[in-house]
Amino acid sequence: MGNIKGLQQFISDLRSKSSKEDQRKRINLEIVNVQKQFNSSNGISGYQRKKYILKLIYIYLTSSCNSSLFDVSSTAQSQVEKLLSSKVYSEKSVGYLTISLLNLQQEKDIIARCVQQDLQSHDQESNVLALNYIGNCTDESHLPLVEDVFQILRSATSPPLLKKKSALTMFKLCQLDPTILSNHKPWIPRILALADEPDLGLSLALLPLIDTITHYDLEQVQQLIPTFATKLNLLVCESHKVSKRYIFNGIASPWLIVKLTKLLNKILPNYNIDVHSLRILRECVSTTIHQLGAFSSTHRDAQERITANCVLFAIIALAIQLDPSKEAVKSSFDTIITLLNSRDLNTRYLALNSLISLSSLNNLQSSQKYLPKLFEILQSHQDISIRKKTLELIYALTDSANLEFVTVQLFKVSNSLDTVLKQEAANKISILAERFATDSKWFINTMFRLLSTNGVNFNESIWQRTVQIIINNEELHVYATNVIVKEYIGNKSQAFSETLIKIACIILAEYGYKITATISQDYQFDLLAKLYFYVSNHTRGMLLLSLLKLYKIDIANKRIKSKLIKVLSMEVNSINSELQQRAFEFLNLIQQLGNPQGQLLFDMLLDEMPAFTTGENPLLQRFGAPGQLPKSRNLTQQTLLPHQQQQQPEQKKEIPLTPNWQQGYYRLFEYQQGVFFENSLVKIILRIKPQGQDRSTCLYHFSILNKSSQTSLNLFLMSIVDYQTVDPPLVVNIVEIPNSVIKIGDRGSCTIQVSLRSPFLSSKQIPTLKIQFSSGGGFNGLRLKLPIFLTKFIHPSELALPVWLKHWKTMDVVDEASTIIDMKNVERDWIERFLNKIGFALVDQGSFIFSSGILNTTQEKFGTLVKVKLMEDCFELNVRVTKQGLAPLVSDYIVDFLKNV
Amino acid sequence: MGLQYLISMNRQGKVRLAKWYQNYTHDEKYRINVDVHKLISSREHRQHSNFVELQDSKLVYKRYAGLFFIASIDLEDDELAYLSAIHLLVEVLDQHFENVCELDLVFNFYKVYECLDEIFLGGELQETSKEVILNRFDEIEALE
Repeated sequence: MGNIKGLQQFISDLRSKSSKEDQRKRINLEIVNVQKQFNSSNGISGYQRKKYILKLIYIYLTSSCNSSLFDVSSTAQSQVEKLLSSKVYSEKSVGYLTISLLNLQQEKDIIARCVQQDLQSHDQESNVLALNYIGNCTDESHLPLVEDVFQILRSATSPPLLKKKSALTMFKLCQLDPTILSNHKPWIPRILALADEPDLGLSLALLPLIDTITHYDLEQVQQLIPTFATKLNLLVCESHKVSKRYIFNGIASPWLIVKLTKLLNKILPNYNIDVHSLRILRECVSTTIHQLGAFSSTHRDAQERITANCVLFAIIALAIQLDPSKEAVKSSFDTIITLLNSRDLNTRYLALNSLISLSSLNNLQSSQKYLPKLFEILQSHQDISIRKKTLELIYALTDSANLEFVTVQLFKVSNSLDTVLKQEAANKISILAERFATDSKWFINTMFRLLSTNGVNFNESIWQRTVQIIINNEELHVYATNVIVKEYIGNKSQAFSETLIKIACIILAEYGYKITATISQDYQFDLLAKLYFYVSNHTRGMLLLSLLKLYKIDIANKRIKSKLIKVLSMEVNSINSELQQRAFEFLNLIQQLGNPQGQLLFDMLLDEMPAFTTGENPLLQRFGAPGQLPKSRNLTQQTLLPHQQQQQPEQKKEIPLTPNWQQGYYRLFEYQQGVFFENSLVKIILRIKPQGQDRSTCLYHFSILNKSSQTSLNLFLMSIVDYQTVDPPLVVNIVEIPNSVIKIGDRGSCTIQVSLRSPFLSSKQIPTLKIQFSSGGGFNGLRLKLPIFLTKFIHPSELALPVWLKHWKTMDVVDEASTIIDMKNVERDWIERFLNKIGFALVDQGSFIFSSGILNTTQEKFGTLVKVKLMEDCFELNVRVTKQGLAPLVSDYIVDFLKNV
Repeated sequence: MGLQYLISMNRQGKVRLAKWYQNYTHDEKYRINVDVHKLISSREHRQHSNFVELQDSKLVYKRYAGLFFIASIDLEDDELAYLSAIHLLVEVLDQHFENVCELDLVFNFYKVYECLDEIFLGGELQETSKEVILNRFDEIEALE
């Protein structure tokens, strides 16, 4: 769009006016002029329309978007349709600028129509403007356009520019309406297929959408981990291969590195990453730390340092994800804390950020030695952003061991803190005290001291929780009541704190009678009554009830009675209806005391407060067992806690396996090699080989043949799913991943390594192999149960018959698994060969078949004996194993097979 | 995730560029412009970091001569990545306008919007290659 003379003149003119008033006059003149032009019956040219609208926008912007000066929206709206539907690019563009800046509520229908036309147009620039608008100003009215946006994204003919824009626009639409992706499941693989594109701009623009997909189908995104790892490796380790245009401050697309690591951090947990990807990700980490760690703090210019640090912090977060051991976290912590001495303020700020997230991963007791330094920063640093982060870090580092130190220090610095931070510090002390206190008296002292702090608005729940704890712990009744009277509300040198008065109201009314030996009831009553005129109406209501309760303790006390009646009589005329009602009812209660029913009602209403139901409050349980840290840390005040509890993943629905999976599965029970799966496109042959001497590990080698005569298999992905990651009986590593493209007639290969950790592997725990690829236009997915049978870890052990019989006898009969299997015309030979194939050695002779084998796990070996008794039309299978409970499991595998062949 | 808004204003608070990635009302926009100026201009740039929290978001900002560029991002977003993105924007403008100064933005504010849409979309980064952005910027300029 070229220059617009009239507009430039207007701006210069306006800038030449020195006084505000002159400017104001000039602006008003212009607005009148523009309005006149817009209303003129002769009509104006497209150029003029564009010029006048831009003048309006300039006025609007330079007034800080203040619409009270003139109603910019209604002045502009009449012109929007003509601008948007103009054939001239610059006019259309100004039309879009107008609708994206000025909220034109009344023109919604017209705008929606124009946007749709432009989206469906064959003109690229019209597509661009429409996508920009939908992506930037996303709202409900754009949801019907999502199909059009998707068509642009998936179309093979769309240039990268349109793909980038449509990917981001899709992302915004999916954010607005979460049902889009769940209603269009087939879109997901098509979107993910774009992750492989070499255009780095597109890779970057696609990531927000992929991130959104993780909420719908995490598994599919996790399958792309090798792709992401390769991309990250390209940027970090092979940046010389990256086009120069993507190098920024010496680093290949730093933004893509940051976003990729963020995504990886999200999808790596609980995923069985293949060995290759893990290796290259580790290489990314070590290369970055080696290259950037060294000179990010020294000789680069400020901008380059920012970029280098940006990547460094992102990679450190990834490193911790790859190796979350305590030692790794601790050493990262020790390294990063040195950055707090950096002269660059941004570095300090980000170091704090990084330390906070580290502390949330692990209990870093060894890092507590840094606390004094942190308090120094909290007290003396000029920048509030840095002070605030420091407070958060201190908070994250606190546990029961250093709780006292931290709270004492926080109280100490509290007075020198700004109002906002003071409030935060107060909130944090209260949470820390609740989370970690093990001494109930210390807790009470701390909370009282905290609640007496001036200048802080406490959340109501803080004092209420304190009261709950006092009520539920009988040993605190006398202590807390004494402390609050003697040290706070009865202590003239203490500052006035209404929050503490509320607590005093409740605990004096409940437990005041327990301390009458040291503090007379009259004194207690006077103390509260005196405060009556200093507090808010809400607290007055509480006070009235407390005074009434104090009176109940000693009804014979005439002095208290007359004072109470005096207060109540005064409030009967209160302008506050709540207080008036209370006073009226209370007076009534007192008057009815003369008759037995009145007395009964009085006693019932003012009975001692019952304990709160424990169990809901872990704090109370903790006080029950001082000195011990509780396991549960669920407090009801979740919002104030630093680390949100991780949401439990939803129960996964079982996804059905690919039809005909059983054939290959059972074939490989018997054989060590064979066709695992076959359909019209692929044939997968599997070879199972024990690895090394130790028979507890097997290699599963897959060979995938592209059977199609027309098309190569693209985006070929294999992964292991339905895999138990917590204390797994099996450890499965992907050693080799197939190439992502398998050409016609070509083969891909993949190897996984399987180790048996525990013999208690039921067939339900066997993981599934997930395969995805595209061929021609279609996407194909296979889910096949892996033939990882317990018997694969059994190898033959030759025994002489007497030895075999001796072993058989020593193994307990109770633990024997015995099954009758119906099978007609079964030959002795066949059974012998079968037992041999699945790993048992035959023992010479006998009318029975005796066989033996050793089951190997990475930790132990178990002797396994099988006895078969042949009968007419059936045979009896008996299994004994040297480990209790294992025989039925081994037997199940064999029986399951025999029943399915 | 992403930008909520991106504002450029001079030290007196005159807005030169304001791009909104959320649906704010006129009043909200005005309030933000005023609050942001008040907060940013109170921070002495030698003694303070380039980040400061404002309500529920985080401002990442940088001053170039007399002009502030301010991005509002989510609390969990990466500050440095956006600080670098601001720098990228300024470098692109600098090359396009050949030593950009405040006046260029004043007289060409509508072009700056077009440029912005080639770097960010919906508050997310769309393109980060200076060369790709500048070529595209020239392409748009050539359109009638």
